Parts: sequence; structure tokens; C-alpha cells
Amino acid sequence: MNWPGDWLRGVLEMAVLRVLANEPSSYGYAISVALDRNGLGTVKGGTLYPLLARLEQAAHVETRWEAGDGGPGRKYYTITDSGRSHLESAAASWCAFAETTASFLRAEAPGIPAPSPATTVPAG
Amino acid sequence: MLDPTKTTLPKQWASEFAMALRSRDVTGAAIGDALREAEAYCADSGQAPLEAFGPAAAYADSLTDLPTAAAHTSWAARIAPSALGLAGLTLALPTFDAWRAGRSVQLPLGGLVTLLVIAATVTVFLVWPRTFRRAVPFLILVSLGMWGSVSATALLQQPVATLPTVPSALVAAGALIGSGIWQMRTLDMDVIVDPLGPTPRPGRGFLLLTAWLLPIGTLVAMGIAMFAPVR
Repeated sequence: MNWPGDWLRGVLEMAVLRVLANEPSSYGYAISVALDRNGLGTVKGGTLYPLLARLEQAAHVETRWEAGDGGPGRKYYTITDSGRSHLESAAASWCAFAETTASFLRAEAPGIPAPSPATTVPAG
Repeated sequence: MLDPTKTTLPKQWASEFAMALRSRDVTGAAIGDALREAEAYCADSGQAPLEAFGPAAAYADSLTDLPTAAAHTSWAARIAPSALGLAGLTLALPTFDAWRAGRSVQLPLGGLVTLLVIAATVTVFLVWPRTFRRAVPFLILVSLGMWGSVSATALLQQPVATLPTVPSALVAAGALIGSGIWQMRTLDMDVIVDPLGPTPRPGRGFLLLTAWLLPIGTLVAMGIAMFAPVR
């Protein structure tokens, strides 16, 4: 299933770090496939690589190039300690937000109290 | 060194992508990385770059976190030393003719037009740096500039200004030497590096030759002019 892009944008950084936390190291297309297999839908290269560059710039991942065995060379990403702690804290916040949102969206009562009507001042 | 047109990506997409990143002063190493990554992703996924990444310039714009070189290597700063050298060359040749003939410098209309074309080209780069970072507008602008300069020099020989020889020679020499020194300071030769290949290191001789190309070219042109009859 392909989720709305707006939803995915909020969670994609954590999802990519989660993929990297589960693997010793991985490369762009493999990360994209892992996201798809875990139900996050197809993430195009044009979305994934700017995010990976941002993670690299923030030192949440380390990279190394490996020559391909008969195929293209690949840039491998490995999560750093800073990336792991960022993932833990961001994931905890996200889960709390998601639970709050889910519980609010499912609740039928109590509703939000209606705002009191604005006081109108007679003209003149 | 990595030539964007020698990857397995479509040549136009790869060239526009590399050029768009270069115009933002992204380092050669980071451009090489991005090119090879795009190449690997397309090979793995079986997608064309347009499908996987979208238009080259837009994708380059989205890569906002790539390392960039110092600000002095902007395109305007990159072409300014060459423009100064070309201006020196344009003034040096009629000054040399005047010195041989023992008269004042008669700046031909073509020389004046060339100086204006150079100034206009640099101004266009300064005012609209983003417009002319794409391959086609860049090539059109540079081609028009070169065509305009060469045509003007060849066709517009009538003198439009008379200048004293010694000050003209000093200005021309100053512009040429200044351009060489400026080139030496700004020429970083930050070539696009193949992350899977050896790190290219341009030799010092090559750097010197590149920086002093216009002053050397002027001397060569003067040497050739020695064989022409005095006008």
C-alpha cells in the first residue's frame, strides 16, 4: 500500500534508521525494498537519497563504497551510535504521538467542548 | 576523475544533474558520489533516472545536504578571472600593433564590442546565476558570447578610440597578470571524483598552464603578429 506522501514524510527518517539498525549495513535500493516489505510502500530514489544525505551530514550514519561484483558499485550505510540514540528518542516520541492521535480519532466521546460564543458588541 | 557522460545513466540527465550540483558549488567528491549512487539505484531497480529521481535539476535541488566548496568558487567568481584576462588580451593586441608602428593605440570597434560582450556575459551570470546553470542556456550564452566576440573582432576593424600606448600597455599587462594571479588563487580544480576509482591529482604544471593560459596565449598571438606587416 502506498501511504499519502505527507504521512510518510513524518516517519521516513525513523523508518530508514530502523532498517539500518536491523542490518549491519545496507545500500539505497535495499533500504527502499526493506521499507516496501515492511508495509511503508514504495519510496523512490528521489525521496530516499536526499534523506540519506541528511542523515550522513548529521552523522547518524557512516558510509563506505564497495565495488560491485559484476554489477554497479554501491554506497553502504551503517547506523552510528548517534543515529541509534536519535532513533530511540524520535521513535518514542512518534509512538506517543501516534497513540494519542489514534485514540483521539477512534474516540466517539467525550467530544471537544464547543467554544463559547463570541461576545458581540452592538454597533453604535 | 568521473565523466558524467561515461556512466550508464542517460548522458543528458547525468550532465544536467552534475551541472546543477556544480552550479551550487557542491564538491567534486559529492557529485561523484551522487552520480554513482543514482547509477547503482537505476541498475538495481531497473528504473530510468527520470522515473526514479525525476528531472535532473529538481533532484539536484533536493540534495540540500551535500557538502559545498568555499563561496569564492561560485560561477561568477569562476568566470571573472577569465573575463579579466580576455579584456587584457583584447587591449594587448592593438597596443602591440601600435607599439610596433610607433603610434597611439587605435582600439577597433570590434575590440570595444568584445569588451562589452565580456562584461555583459559576466553580468548575466551574476544577475541570473540559477537560469544559466542548466546545460542548454549555459551553452547558448557562452556560444553567443564567443560568436559575438569573434565576429566583432573580425568584422568591425574601424577604430573607435585612440588611447596612449604606455598606459594601454600597462592596463593590458595588469589585466593579464591580474587574471593569472586571480586564477591561481581560485583555481581549485575540484574535479568530479569517482568514489570507486583512484583520487585524481592534477599536476602543478597543469594548474600553472590553466591559470596562465590567457597571458601565454597573448604572448603567442604577439609572436605570430611579429610576422605580419606593420599597420
